Amino acid sequence: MFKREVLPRTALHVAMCAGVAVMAFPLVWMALVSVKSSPEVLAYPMTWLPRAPTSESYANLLTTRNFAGYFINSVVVSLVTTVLAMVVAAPAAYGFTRFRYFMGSALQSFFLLTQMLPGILLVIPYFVMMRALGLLNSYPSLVLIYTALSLPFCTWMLIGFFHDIPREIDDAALVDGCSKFGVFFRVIMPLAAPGLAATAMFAFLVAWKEYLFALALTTDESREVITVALSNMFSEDRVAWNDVMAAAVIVSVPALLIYSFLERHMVRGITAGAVKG
Amino acid sequence: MTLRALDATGALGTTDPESTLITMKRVVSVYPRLPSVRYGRDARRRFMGKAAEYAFIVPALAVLVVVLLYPMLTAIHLSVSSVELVPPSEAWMGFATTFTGLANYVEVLHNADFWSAAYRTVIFTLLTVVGSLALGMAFALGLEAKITGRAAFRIILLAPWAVAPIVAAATWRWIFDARYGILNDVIRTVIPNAHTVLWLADPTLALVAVSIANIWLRTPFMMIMLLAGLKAIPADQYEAAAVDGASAWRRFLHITLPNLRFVIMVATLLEGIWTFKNFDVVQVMTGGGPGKATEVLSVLIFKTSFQFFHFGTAAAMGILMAAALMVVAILYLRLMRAR
Repeated sequence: MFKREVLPRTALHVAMCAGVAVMAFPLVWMALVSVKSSPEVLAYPMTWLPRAPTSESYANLLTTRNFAGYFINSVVVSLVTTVLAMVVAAPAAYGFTRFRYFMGSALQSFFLLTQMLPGILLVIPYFVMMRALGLLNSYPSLVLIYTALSLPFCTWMLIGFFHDIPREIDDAALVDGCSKFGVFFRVIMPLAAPGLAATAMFAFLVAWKEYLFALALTTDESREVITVALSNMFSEDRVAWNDVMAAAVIVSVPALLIYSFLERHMVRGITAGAVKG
Repeated sequence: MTLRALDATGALGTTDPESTLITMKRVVSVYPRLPSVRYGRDARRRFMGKAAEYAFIVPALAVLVVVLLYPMLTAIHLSVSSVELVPPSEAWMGFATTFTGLANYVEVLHNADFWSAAYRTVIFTLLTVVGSLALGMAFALGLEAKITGRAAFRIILLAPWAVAPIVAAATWRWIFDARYGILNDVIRTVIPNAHTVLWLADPTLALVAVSIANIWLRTPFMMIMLLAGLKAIPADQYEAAAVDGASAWRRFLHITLPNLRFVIMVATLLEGIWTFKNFDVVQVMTGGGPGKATEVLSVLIFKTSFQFFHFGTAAAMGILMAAALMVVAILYLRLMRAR
């Protein structure tokens, strides 16, 4: 009995550890390479652990490669997107949970369907439009499209949170003479604050990780966001891999920090709109 | 005012002509006005209330219409036109079009590059879906098996979800590097005389390598969907099976899998849609190369529009791609509704 229980459990633990090691490896490797010196990156035989860890590549990014600027571009675009997406998505989600609309469920399906459109189809007309409006290389062009891209997802996620708030609370506030907007802003929003915060973080990540639109809509080097700047390092004659990996670390750290806050909301976040119909 | 109310004023039950007249006067003077005033106020209030309700969703709808639907219609317009970019002052939206009907579509459908890109996209999607489903299932079951250090495992396993696709692409590109990549170094250590594997330079392997990177990126999504599904399976089903002495494999086959059927279908469809659209991973890892070995639809369309500036052709390709996705999307919506 003892053996029959212990052996499979040990095997299970070993297998899980191996699997987790493989999944964690790329991120660990990225961090390790980023602190190698330029000669060591191309050394043979290669080293697993950096022989003499150095911040050389991070210094390169900041001084010669203007990464502080790209970082700020990304932060500004992502933050403004987050605020806009929440301002638009929260009332919509509340409306969908509390009121009946003409073709209400069709509208909700429409929200979902927009998420299935291929970005590559939208980027062509969007480029043409932004070019005509003189908005290439501008924050607003990116903020606008990122807001639209994260909006359906945010709405669906917030619908879940608002559903959890009992309608009796709304009714009580209405009886006390609150207007519909008053109920939403003064009563429901504070109650849903944790959900709003989690959703905002998802919206931030959508904008932070985006690449295709940023690539197509930016031609001016100083207006690049950090993802585009990272990919441009590949167009150099000799790719400086320690610099690339340092840039990858810089892109990943804020995202992983947010992820550490979000982790417990992940089930709800990822399955938003997926399992609820 | 109802009949009973009229009756209460004495208008109906009395025979006294004078009082009836007075009552009638009162009723006539009151009747047509009172309810209509009330009705008008009600209607206005109801209308304002309804307007307030719509005010909640109008901003979101406006954003979707302006930023997604209008470009979508423009894309359809571009796809049936021969497009020439001109200075924005010369034409609406800065492009001059000549209507060419379905010419772009005919051209695309006769274009061998388009069909091979479509084929590669399907292969790439299948590899990713199968790979991430298998891995996600293994990890989800492992986590559910009351393993020690579960919380830490979960955090690490889900972390790739937070990673930007281009970061994953850059990192895996370095891992797969033929000369300096760590994967080949491991292979050389294990098999000393092994040939150098040209992961990203070999036409067949490149698509596999790109899929592996994408699987790594997408496994957390599958895992979290399956974890949610596993949590919903009633424990008594397992208890009953344990009483019957069913083996772990049989429990998985006859309890876990049937219960997860719906979640697996949903996750597979969503993952399929996501990967079918994918641009970032392939673009940064291989740029579609070597040659055209990893040129998936998104990459082909990007080249057609932003390198060769054939916006009309590119839009037609995009519309065809969206049409294929919509079939899957509608399948998905029907699945959700049937639930």
